[in-house]
Amino acid sequence: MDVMWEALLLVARPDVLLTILAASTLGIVIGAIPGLTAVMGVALLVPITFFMDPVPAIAAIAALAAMAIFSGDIPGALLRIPGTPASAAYVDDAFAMTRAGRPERGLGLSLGSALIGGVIGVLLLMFAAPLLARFATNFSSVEYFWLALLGLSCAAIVSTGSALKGVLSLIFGLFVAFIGIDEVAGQPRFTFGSFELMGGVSFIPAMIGMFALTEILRNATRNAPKPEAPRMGPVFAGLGSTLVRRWRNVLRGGLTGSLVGALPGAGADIAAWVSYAIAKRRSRTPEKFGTGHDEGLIEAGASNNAALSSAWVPTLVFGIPGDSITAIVIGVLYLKGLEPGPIIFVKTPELIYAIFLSFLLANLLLLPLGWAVIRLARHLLRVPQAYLMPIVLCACIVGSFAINNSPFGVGIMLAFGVIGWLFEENGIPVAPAILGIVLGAMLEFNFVTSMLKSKGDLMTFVERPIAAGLGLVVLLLWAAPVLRALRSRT
Amino acid sequence: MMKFNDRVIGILAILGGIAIISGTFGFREAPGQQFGSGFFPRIVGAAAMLAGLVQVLAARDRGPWIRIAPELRSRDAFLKLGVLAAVVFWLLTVQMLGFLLTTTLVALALSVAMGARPLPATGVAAGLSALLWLVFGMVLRVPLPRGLIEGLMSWT
Repeated sequence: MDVMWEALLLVARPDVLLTILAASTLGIVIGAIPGLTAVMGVALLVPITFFMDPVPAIAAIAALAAMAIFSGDIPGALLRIPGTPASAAYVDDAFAMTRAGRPERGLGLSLGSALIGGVIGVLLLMFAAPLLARFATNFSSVEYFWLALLGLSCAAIVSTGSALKGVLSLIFGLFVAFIGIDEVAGQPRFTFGSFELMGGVSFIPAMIGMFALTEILRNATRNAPKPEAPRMGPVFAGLGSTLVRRWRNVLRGGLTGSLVGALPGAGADIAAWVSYAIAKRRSRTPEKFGTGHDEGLIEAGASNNAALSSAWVPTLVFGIPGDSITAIVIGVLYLKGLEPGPIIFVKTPELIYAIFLSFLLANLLLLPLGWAVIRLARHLLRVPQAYLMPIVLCACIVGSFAINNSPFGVGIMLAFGVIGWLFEENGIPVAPAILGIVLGAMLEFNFVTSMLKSKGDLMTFVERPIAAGLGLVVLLLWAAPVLRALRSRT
Repeated sequence: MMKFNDRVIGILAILGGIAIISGTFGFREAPGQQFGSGFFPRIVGAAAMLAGLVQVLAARDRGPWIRIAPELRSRDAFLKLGVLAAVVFWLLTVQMLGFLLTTTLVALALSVAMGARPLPATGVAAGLSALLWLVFGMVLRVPLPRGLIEGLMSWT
């Protein structure tokens, strides 16, 4: 209980609370504007958090992401343009409600389910992460090797679209992770004689390129449609009774989202699709889905916010990111000198609980801020792209510069922006590449360390029971697509 | 938009894999270590070649090697190239012109190219670069490149 109290003191400081409020406001605006995504907001926020203490820095990221994932529903409901990919699953239902003259109904349901789903996700995070961390304290490099491999395998298999293209994306990420000096042997790799690349590809500029510059390239067009958003009725009218009547959907969405989010590599987007599909299968009226029905909207809306929180479970406990946002968080944690892993639960538990509390706070802030943004949505949607995109571009440039105080970061941002854009144009998912960059170094380091400890005996990877179990899971994951292909042939 | 044939993606992956593996041969061996610096890159290179090969064989895409959608042949293509050129321009001139002027020019050019009217666009661009300079340069103490305008300001 002392830890909880200490954590509360860490969060209840005016600067931390103000930071959370500011980041939440920023997040809710970013999500509501078409073309600005949650991951992009996080990538652009990082250069600022770089200069903060750990608790406000992490709290700002958590708050921004939670808000942006909810408010991504707004352009989806009003214009049928999902503000973030996680809103795409139920965009048809929300838009149908708008066309029927009740835009506030769809948005109110999104808000209510996002709030409850988010709280379920945070509670699961608070409960599961410390338990897992206690279990993980006796993991050695062998277990971490398998965990990293598990994360990479999930990233490729669970990603949206063709699994093969997911693998190609992953391989690209692994290659990027090799760039720089090999820590164990002191050998520079793939630096092309560049002094700046000796320390490796700077992660945050690369993320800004892949998630923000890519988005500018996609939105750089002269003939952007001029959206006309409808007027809103009262947001909360009849909302409570609908959510009570659909409590099964809210609860199931929150729990499914938490589970999917906790898988490495599967984030809020996938959670929303999975939950929408479950809601449809379990519904008495599946034929109504996509025509302005509330069940799928509620279940998937709760699911994506829950996934956002639970993605932090593998991130904080094992250092294995749950999705693209937490991949960026891992980069931030290292910058702050906080190596993610069970050790931080033991050494600085108050820090972890402070992060959890700020998560909870951010999710509760959804209610007032969400209401405000729904009322203001008409105006936000009309911000002209011709002003918005230059603002984002300049934020990309200065943010990439600020990480190392060097124009080289801007060059990295440019290169990864072009690569990310080409990836997207060709249906190659970006998320596996990000996880490849983060996990590649971890995979190799733990492999080499294990080999040095065991003097080159490969059996060390299956000698300990947990390691053997994890290895078996990885093998099953790899075998599954092959077995499915064989079965479909016979 | 700008889509490569699935076979081309596979061929690029194979070539990338070959490049990665050939890049590892210059690495010196670490004494007493079975798995040196080249071990993992070689696995990844081999995986790239294998995945590329499967991609080539499994591709059912019989279209041309590169497809460019009609909207990309229009002015939007120049706009997208313009975004990239703006970043390159920033990199090349920021040391000379300083952060404030270069950033204003970049924002203004992109605004006008996307259809904004010049006068309000100038206001937004100048305000934006001043704000970024204030937040990053003054509050966060990032040493942003100094130039003409910054020189004038320190003078007063």
